[in-house]
Amino acid sequence: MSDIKDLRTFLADNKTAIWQPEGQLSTEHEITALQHAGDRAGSYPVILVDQPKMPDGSISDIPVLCNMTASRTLTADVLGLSDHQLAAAELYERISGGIKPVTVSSDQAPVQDVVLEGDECDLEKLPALKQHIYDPGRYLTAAHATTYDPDTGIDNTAIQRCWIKEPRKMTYYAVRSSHNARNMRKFWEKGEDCPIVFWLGHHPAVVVGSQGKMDYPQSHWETVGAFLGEPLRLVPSITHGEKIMVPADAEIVVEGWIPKDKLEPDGPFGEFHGYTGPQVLASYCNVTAITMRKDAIYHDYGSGLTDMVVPDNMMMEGKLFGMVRELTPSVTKIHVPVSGRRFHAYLQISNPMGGEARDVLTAVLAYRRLKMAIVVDDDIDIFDERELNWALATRVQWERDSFQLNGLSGTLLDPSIPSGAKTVSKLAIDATLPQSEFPGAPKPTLPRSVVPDDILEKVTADFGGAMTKEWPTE
Amino acid sequence: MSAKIKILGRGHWREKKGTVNWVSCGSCGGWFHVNEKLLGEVEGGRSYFHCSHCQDKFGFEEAREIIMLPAG
Repeated sequence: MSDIKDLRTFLADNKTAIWQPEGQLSTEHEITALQHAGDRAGSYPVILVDQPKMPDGSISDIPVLCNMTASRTLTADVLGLSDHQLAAAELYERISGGIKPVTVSSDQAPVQDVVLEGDECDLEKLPALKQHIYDPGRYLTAAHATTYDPDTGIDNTAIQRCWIKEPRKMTYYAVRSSHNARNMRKFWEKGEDCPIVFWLGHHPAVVVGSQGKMDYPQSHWETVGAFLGEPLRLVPSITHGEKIMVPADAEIVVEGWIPKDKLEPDGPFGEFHGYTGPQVLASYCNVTAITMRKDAIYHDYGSGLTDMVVPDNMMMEGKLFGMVRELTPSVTKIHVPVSGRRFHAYLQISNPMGGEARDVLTAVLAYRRLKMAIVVDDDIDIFDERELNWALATRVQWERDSFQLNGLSGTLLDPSIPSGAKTVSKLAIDATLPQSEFPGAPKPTLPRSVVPDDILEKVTADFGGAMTKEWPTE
Repeated sequence: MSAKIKILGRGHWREKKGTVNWVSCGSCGGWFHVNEKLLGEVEGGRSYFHCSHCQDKFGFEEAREIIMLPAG
């Protein structure tokens, strides 16, 4: 096996985290149902389906990989973080860095082992999934769409969904505020179709690194290199050449054009928030080429499931850390929990000065995606929502410690937004304790009921050894 | 077929109200939801609904039933 980091090296290095269910599993609902079952059980194996059953009953030669990034601990580990709880600070550093990509020739690019062009292309042969009940068909959910700004030539990459409608046609839904949508509009305003490629399947460092929140126009490739710890290998696409490069070590690439001003219905489709979003108008892609490895693996993201939410939220933690570090060095950890989708953030702060907790809250709520933020002291584990609720219950007087900001920009996909609204209201909660007014003195509040650490550690080990499955858990 | 249209109530702004339009397919009767832009484009004859159940493509008048958000 080569030293180049790709999906293959990830799978080889993490064999114990992989579950390969036996037998055939349908591409319609069954594989996604496995992810739902895992989310319910709080268990997050990488799932590799060797025999995906297609809608016509045949078995695809291409295995399906999903749940690759459902585990925070595994994702943090493969990204080389010291601890998933420190993702905010460490990913901020990673996002700030960069390693330039390198270009390789087609014969050095596994993703161009197989090249299908024109009528040889057939999207329907890919084992794409129909995930949820209201989905109208099978979607590419882990397709990294790469376009470029026609004014500067600088590329942009984002994961955006595609509904396979015909062998050489699929919808392409890019929300209006996305950088890819901006590139597309620029081409259209020039009277031209927009060139595009979609790449699927790579090492988690590449797929997570490519989700960094960048300026416009700014390529993601150098950030991906910082996540990989080595230059990303790129190869010119078959259709667009050096104008759009693709990762040479990806699994599958779909290339094509988005025709000018053409829109068609797309969806309904599952969104990050756990609901199925409505049918919308979307552009579509006319496919010109499909390239892949000889033994390609198809990567799918469980839309709205932990698999999809975890990497995005970890990247948000890095983004938020960058926003608050200018204000204070006191924020130690940030958690954007899966339970709150992208809407909530918990921030841990160490010995804040008067007003500092509110400064932090005000800063992070300016981030478009957030609608609630809570700041707690460093004795509260922000990765344990029982502890967080305990802090809310025992440290907050709502009139004194919470405030709302209204009329801010927000994620308009939020299903609770009233029809027609263009802004959202946001909530900030300071759940910290008052600080000691005298150096070295205890905080002027009730002390926690605790036992000595050494005794707790000893009996915890005894307790763990005695536990049985028969003991009640609720 | 001419679509049977029901408009959701507007209510006081502090009351929780509906947030999405629903369409019942003229062919299979299955319900699916659409955003306001698509609904407007279909109503204006510039686009179509695509049933997520039976894949039928149909216009505003071909819908069996439409539950719409109030205008404005």
